[in-house]
Amino acid sequence: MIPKHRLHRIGQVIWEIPREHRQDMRVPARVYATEAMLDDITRDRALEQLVNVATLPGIVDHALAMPDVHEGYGFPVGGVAAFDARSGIVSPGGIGYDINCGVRLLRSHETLDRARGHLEKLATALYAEIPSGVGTGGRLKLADRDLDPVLARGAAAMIERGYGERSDLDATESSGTLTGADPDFVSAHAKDRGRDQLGTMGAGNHFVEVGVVERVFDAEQAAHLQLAKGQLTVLIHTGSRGLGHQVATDYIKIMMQTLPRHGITLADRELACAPFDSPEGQRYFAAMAAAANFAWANRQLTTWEVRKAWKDALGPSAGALEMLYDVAHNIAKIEEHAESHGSRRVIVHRKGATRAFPGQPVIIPGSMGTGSYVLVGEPGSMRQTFGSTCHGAGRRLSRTAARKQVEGEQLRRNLNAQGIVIRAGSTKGLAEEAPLAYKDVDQVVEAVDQAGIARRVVRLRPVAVIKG
Amino acid sequence: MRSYQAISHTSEAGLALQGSSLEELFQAGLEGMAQHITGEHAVSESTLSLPILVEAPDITALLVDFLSEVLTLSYIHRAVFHGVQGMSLTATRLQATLIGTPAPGGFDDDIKAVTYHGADIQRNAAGLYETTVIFDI
Repeated sequence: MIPKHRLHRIGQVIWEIPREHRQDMRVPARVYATEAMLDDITRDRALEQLVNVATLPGIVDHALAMPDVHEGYGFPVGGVAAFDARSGIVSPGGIGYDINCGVRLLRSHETLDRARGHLEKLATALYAEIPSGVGTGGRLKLADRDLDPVLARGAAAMIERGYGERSDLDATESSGTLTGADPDFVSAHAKDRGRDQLGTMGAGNHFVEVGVVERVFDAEQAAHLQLAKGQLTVLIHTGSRGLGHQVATDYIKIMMQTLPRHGITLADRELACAPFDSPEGQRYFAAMAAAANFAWANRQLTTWEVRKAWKDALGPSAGALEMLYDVAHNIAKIEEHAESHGSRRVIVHRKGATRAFPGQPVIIPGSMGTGSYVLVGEPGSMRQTFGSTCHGAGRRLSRTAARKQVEGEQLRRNLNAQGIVIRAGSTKGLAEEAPLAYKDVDQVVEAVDQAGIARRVVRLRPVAVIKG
Repeated sequence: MRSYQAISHTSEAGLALQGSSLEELFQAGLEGMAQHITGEHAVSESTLSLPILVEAPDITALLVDFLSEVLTLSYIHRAVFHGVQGMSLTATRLQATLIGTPAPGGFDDDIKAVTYHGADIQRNAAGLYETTVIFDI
């Protein structure tokens, strides 16, 4: 573990581990956090993992940790790294197994005051409509001829099947389709794991949450996003399910075997990578893009299910649920970023991090019972973090430790007492996701706000949480 | 002799495995993973068998790849594989028959993937093979 005193303060909320910290570092590592957050951040091996990232070939400028950073495997969760597209690598571990795990926020025309008496009914309808849990299939089971177009075109393929509006795509990062996807590079195992999982939530930290706009930080931006105090929203958190998990598994194995041929040595096997322009690198990127598209299709079908449950529970007078935005937080993208003499084409890896281009909405889910945020990207993100920011509150306690400190049924009663309706398939899972297991989301977003990479717009308070 | 024990990780889950032989170590990993996804529900009937063949560059990678393949088969066949028969094991190749139980209703707990992070099979002072395995959950 890297102790706090090894971090050099270079800004109010920016800390650096210099390149001299370890001989094999190619660039320094930087951490975005308030001083108060450093105790939690230095408690596990997250920063050691960040230093490992700083050793990878072709890394540009810095290995970056957002304020929600915590220990992962290989790359830390809450990490950002950009690699030169000509001389750098692509690493499946820098994206994670749940490719394009992300969040989508829907805004309603309904207020908490009007809907308060119907929340139980709404939560029940959402839980019934959206398949959740481990190994649970969804309403579609696609043969390869139907699955391949989804892998190639993502959310757009679901719109063509009638599961949403064309306007949904306008409010989705990359319009819900990552270009360069090639279903032929997705294995039969991966397709088998995913073919019945569209429109499913999964388990763990995935959820659907009805929230209310509790506080407005930026009235002008809130008005632009059509958000107002008291308004209900629906937040969807899910990813590429078993298909994405298998794509990552397949290519980490392949890349581990080709490391010697590329002359790459690693501090951790989970950093397995290949030069971006190598056959392995290109095939992985095409498969990763296909899995990212599957995730956007998954959130699109889940959105259709949410809209159906909303209408069934609240009636047509409740009005439509409109897309606010959809962001990926486990993904790699080819982007152009400015440097002192022009710009450079880089592969930006965001593992537990969100794109935050200036003016773009950023959705930051907190933990159950606390709150979530809508932010907007700031110009500072382009100068400092390859257009990236945090992705959530970030875990601070293991699931085992959380279960030791809180009992699931008691937590359910406590949340109910706070006016939060819970529908969860697993009491154990509920305890593992207890608010005390997470960092303080208010501090996390305050840090990115202070750093000038994303600005707070509104805070959402949960009123109903649906989990697997 | 074999054993598995849950170990703590901030965001993931893991097992500390021990075995008096490599075969026992692999079996401990299989049982630990089955226990993780079935939770408190005991696995009783063994009504499913599937052949498995895995190759990897070294014994540690072989263990991780073996568990990965079992996990994949668990999701595809909606079954919990908790036993193995006829295991033929070298440093780079494993061939066996998996024994399992159908789980049509899904599992209690999710494992997204088996990672190589921190895995390193060694023999301890008592002569037992041991390693940790971290799961992405």
